[in-house]
Amino acid sequence: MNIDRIDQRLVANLDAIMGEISAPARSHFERALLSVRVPEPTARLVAATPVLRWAWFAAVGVVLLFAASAGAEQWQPGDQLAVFLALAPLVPVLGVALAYGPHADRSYEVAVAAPLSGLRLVLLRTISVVVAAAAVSLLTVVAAPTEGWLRLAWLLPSLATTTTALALATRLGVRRAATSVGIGWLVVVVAVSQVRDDATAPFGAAGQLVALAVALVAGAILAGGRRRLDRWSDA
Amino acid sequence: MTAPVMHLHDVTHRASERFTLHVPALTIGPGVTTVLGSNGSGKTTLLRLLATVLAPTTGLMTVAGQPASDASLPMVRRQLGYLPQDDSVPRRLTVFDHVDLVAVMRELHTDTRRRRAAVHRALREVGMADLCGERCGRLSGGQRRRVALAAALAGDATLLVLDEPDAHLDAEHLQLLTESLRARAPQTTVVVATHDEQWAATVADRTVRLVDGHLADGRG
Repeated sequence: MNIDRIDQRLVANLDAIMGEISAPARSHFERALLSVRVPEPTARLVAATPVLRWAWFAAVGVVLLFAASAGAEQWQPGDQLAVFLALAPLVPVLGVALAYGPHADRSYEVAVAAPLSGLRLVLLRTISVVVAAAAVSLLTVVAAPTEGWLRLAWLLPSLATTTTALALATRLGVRRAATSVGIGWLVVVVAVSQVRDDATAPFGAAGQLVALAVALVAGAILAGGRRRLDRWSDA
Repeated sequence: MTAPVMHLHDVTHRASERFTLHVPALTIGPGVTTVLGSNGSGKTTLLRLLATVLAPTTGLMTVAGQPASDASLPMVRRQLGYLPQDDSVPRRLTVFDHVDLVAVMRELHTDTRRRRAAVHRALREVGMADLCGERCGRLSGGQRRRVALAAALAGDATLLVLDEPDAHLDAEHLQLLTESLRARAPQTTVVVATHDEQWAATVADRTVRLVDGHLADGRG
């Protein structure tokens, strides 16, 4: 037998053993993802990405801030919900802005040079932030003193703002896209509310249909321009 | 897998209004190619182009005979290990977790055990295996550089693009790096940007020199 070959095998086996021993214990969150059969590499990407912690904290913090302000005594019950509905779709946009790009992630350049699709990475990060924020949002809305389907009227607008932000990110970069969508959304909501003299008017049936259409168009633009997320786009 | 040959044909990249990199013709093959030049000469821009992080403004770049277009990017990047110039190591992760996370992004192995073995091997190669569980925020600049280097070296990439891998390294670890790159050289295309002409002479098979965004010479 060739001694060098035996040595190489021994070293490879030693690396395999030491790799298992050296790997730090998985976090509770990562183990929870694995327990619901999320693929191991995906669980790693979501749970071990440090930038996501700040995005989660920021998103949940913003939701709680909205809830606290909407619950202030000077608000009428209908206005509380309107304020919440107007601001809730900005949470996932904030998640997009905080979760991807050179401003948010030291490893961004390494991630760009990796074969993993930029779209997949930004979607994974966005979804993980949005799920955390949505859970808190749902609790807040359920606790709001207004009944009916309007409690969930933020869902489609959130989908529209998120997909629009991602679609624009392929052209403008993540941060500028998120800022543009945030400002644009608030302008639209305030304008429609003023014209209709009803703070919840943007979230009626027509508003929901428009949000769905915007989400579909933005999704198509995102699919077409997804390769742009594979290059340095936010420098 | 054989080491890919990279060709740049009349490539330009406009990095800013004041700076454009122009490479009329450049071929980089197996072995170690060092890129030398003063600050602002375009070394990092050239390496970002070679690492497919930036797209050429004009011209054509091919890797292993394939144009480095958007469609071929995943194929090119599966062969690539990249060390950026800037500090790319997050402070909150442990040494092992960072290299492992990059290994996942690089799609090194679908099998977790094989991936972890590759991570450990890379950390051993740069002399960081003893600090696997340490948080990166508690490391020195040189140690963080070695962690970033391990992330690039993991998994036997056949194309290594390393931007100033010698920065912050002491003599002992610079020697380790030299031995590691020389050992890989025959079956790997290695491109290294550095300011250290003496080290470049030690490690390089070929040298490319940049002056104000233009190639000064290329021999090999």
